[in-house]
Amino acid sequence: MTMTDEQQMLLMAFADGELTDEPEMLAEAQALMAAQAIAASAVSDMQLAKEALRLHVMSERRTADADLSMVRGRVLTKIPAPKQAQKQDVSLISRLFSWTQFFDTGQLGLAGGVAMAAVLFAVVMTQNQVTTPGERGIEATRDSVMNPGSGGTSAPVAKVQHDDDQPGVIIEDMELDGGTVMFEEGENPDEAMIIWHIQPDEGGAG
Amino acid sequence: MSQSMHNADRRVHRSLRRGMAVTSILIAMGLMTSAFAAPPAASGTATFQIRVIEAAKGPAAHLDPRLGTMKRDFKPFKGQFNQFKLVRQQTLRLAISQQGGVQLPTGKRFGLKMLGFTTGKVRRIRYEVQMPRTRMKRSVAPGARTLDVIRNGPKLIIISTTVR
Repeated sequence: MTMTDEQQMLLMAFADGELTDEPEMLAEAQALMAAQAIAASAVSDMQLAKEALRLHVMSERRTADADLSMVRGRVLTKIPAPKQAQKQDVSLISRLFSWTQFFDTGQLGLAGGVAMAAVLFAVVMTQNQVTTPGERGIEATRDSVMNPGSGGTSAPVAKVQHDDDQPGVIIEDMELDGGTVMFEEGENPDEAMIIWHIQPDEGGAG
Repeated sequence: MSQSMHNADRRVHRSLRRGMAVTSILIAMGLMTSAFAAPPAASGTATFQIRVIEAAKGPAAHLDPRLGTMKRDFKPFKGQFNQFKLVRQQTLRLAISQQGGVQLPTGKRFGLKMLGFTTGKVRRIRYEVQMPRTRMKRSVAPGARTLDVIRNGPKLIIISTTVR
């Protein structure tokens, strides 16, 4: 069973605690979660991802100093158009556009801006350069370490081999059949790129 | 007169033939040398090190000693998870168009398909991650790492992929 875009947005708003002043919508979200295990699972996943991002991003990157005013536009230009745009499935891209439309309809307070800002902030904040649409996908760490880790004790680390002014990881293309994918770039050059796969209809892998 | 011209002509032809033979031998030697000097066939492959890690919340913090070098990678998860255990580790050597993957504790498969290499200053590895509902093409610098995170009930499954 899948949820509609409207239901997912409602749940996102619920997960972000944005419905406290909207008793009708709050009741609707609670009813949806009570009726569908998928909905409850989706909210749980959203809260989990949001909390992890909040702890990692918001607390450590001095968000007070960050200018988020252009976040949305900048992120949208960084994400390549989905190849399967005609599919009805929910993807990161389509959801971002849904959110955009949602904002434009004046329901800003319901859209879970904090979570979105955290996610988008994570994607773009450490980018020092802005890419043109289609030039490349979502970018990630500039440097990382590798873990040969043949088991047993900790293995020595080796630097990532890239001196071409490109990030360590570039997402070139993505196809989703439902759910959401969020990207979190490493805070430091030596950290890995984290890719969250959130599937609202499963407790497991996407 | 004509006899001497004919002899001279034959000498020129012989010389040319000899020159061509020497050139051919040199070219052949060059090709052989370059063939021996070329990188082994393995240069067309990439090595993927995959670690499947289970994150859980428990009464006491625990980090699998085998994950010591990844300690800082778990920082984003520590708000809700304090136990990290290596449940599977696999190294795949894939040639272009080859596929491989690991089985996850969820029963699902985390698949990889080697797509090729980029040209340029750094020879990046291009591969595709194949999961039941996600396909994602990545271009990764040698040694760079990704952590794919999925939910498994109250736990997290973290798939660390390092490629070079």
